[in-house]
Amino acid sequence: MGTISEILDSRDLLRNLVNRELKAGYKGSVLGMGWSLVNPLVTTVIFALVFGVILRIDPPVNPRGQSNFAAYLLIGLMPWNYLSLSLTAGASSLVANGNLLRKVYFFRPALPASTVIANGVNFLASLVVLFAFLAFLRFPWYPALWMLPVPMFSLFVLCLGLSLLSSVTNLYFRDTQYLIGLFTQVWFYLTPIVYPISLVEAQIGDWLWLYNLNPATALIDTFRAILYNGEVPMLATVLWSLGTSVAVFVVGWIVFRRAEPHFAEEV
Amino acid sequence: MAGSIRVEGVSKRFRLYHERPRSFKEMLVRRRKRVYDEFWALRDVSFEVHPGQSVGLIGANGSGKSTLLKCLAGILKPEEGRTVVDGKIGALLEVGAGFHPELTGRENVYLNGSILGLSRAEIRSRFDEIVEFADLEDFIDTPVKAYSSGMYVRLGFAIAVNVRPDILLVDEVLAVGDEQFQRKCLAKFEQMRAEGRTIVLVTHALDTVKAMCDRAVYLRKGRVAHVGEAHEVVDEYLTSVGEVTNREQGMILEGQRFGTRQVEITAVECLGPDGTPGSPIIAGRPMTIRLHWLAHEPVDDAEFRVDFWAHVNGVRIAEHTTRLSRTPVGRLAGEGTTELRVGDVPLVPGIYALSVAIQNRDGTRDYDHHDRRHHFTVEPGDDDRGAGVLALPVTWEITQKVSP
Repeated sequence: MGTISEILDSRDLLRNLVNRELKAGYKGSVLGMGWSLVNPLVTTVIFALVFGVILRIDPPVNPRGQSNFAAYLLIGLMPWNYLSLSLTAGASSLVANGNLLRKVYFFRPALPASTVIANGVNFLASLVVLFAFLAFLRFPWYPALWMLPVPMFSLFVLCLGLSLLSSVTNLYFRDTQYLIGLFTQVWFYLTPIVYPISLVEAQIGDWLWLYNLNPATALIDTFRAILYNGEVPMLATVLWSLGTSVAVFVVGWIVFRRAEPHFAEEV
Repeated sequence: MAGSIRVEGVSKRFRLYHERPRSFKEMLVRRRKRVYDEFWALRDVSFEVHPGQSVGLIGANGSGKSTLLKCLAGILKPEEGRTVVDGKIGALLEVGAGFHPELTGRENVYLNGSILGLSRAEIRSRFDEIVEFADLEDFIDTPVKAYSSGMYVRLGFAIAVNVRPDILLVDEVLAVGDEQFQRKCLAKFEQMRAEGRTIVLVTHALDTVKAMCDRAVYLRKGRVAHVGEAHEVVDEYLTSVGEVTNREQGMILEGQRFGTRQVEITAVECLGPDGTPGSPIIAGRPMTIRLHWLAHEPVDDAEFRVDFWAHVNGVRIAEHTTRLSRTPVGRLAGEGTTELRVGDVPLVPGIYALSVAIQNRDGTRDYDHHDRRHHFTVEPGDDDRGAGVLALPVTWEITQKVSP
């Protein structure tokens, strides 16, 4: 059976697994899906206080002459949260379903993919809040909005690739789940989320290209160009982001499919 | 044609890790040491199943039956050889796999159904049938965490049998639920068989194999020992298991042993009609169970007890004690043997488990209790006339009114 037809046959499985994630995850909690918004909002407030008020990092000024540290942060934090969540949720997606892997044959990529899709739904919900916040600040979030599906696609593909990788790695080495915590922390500060890229440029000058290799940098740059500046992002940035995302996904996919026949024994 | 299975030279290797490096520290420390043993669960297994046949996989625990089933289901990948399966597979290796306790019965039907390969539309069209089969009409919108284990299993089973695959793989799950539900399940299998679906069944219930299967595959230590007509293979299996058990004089099962050990049961022998060790036990002929005991200190209130079980996990068929038979025991000291003689073994051919014990007179204390730690095999006699567990001394009589 071809991979494509396997994927098509698994649509309903995927849908039900996503449903399970969304419904079961928040069953019995008062705030429900609202919790997925609380986290980035609280983080934004903390970072805005620490970096904006105490350390006095100036947020960049957009073409309309506006600047707002909270808005700058939030636009970067939301995709970032989705990324780091995909890594952590992906890591447990196979291990937590050991019994299923040992007893039933089904399309295995559906397990990590369902966590990515479920978190994607939360991400979409948080975007609505972001739009409202930007509109309230009278930021130009709409002129280039038509471009937004491009970085969103790139983000989704990157999340898929990362969760495929972390799910397999954690199956073989249970230390992965702890290393992911460390790894995302380092990655977080290597990405211009709480500080503008201009500060980095001032420090490392000619080596900026190295810093820019980080796929998350290009990705968040694209989100900010569209939502903070209201501009169409630079083609090179968009292509780099798309290219790296697809590359991570392809690597993740190959690793996953290679390891897949042995899941039932390893889990 | 849909429903056929070909197993070609399948070998499956497992690695038994003594202590698997699951962390970086361990990985660095024991980088070079080989920390596992290899063991072949299946070795060069080949056979063929034609569409519509039902096949029983039999063999002792650890003979590779479940591994073979998992290879057929695609859960495990064999190291050598291949399985060629034509048609949609439904694997009943576990009921209710993937149920989420927080979700309702209804939501879990959709979830579990799609894991088993049903589309949403298919589940919708079979939903009422599933709920009716599980007998859970009143609870279907309750979260399954509130279900009793029986309800849980019933729902899982109802979904699985409604997958309607070309090939159904079943692993021992026949033993779920109460008597009534088990009958319902067997009837469902019978119906699927009548519909021409292929069934592969792993079970210890040899009766079921004889009754339900056309053919059987007998696995011994991962190799095919015998393939053929179901009843023929079952008889072959019983004979060879009987030889092994009798040779080893009461092989020890995984049962419990407890007691104060003031008196210890040191050995248990099961003897056939001619009373010599190692002779086969034959249906309808006498047998003797001999307990060897050793009293570490004299005991005045000892009673002997032997229980017969239909299977290690089955029903207790009989309990016999010296007290119930009003046989005086007296003071036990030193060593000795005690025999329980059974007139004509009223059991159908099969494997039975034994519990043996030395207890005090009112049964409040065990000196030594081997709970289902021994077993014996009853081999076919000259005159087998029944199936099940007990062979009652029956005769049939048929009267017919001759119609004009």
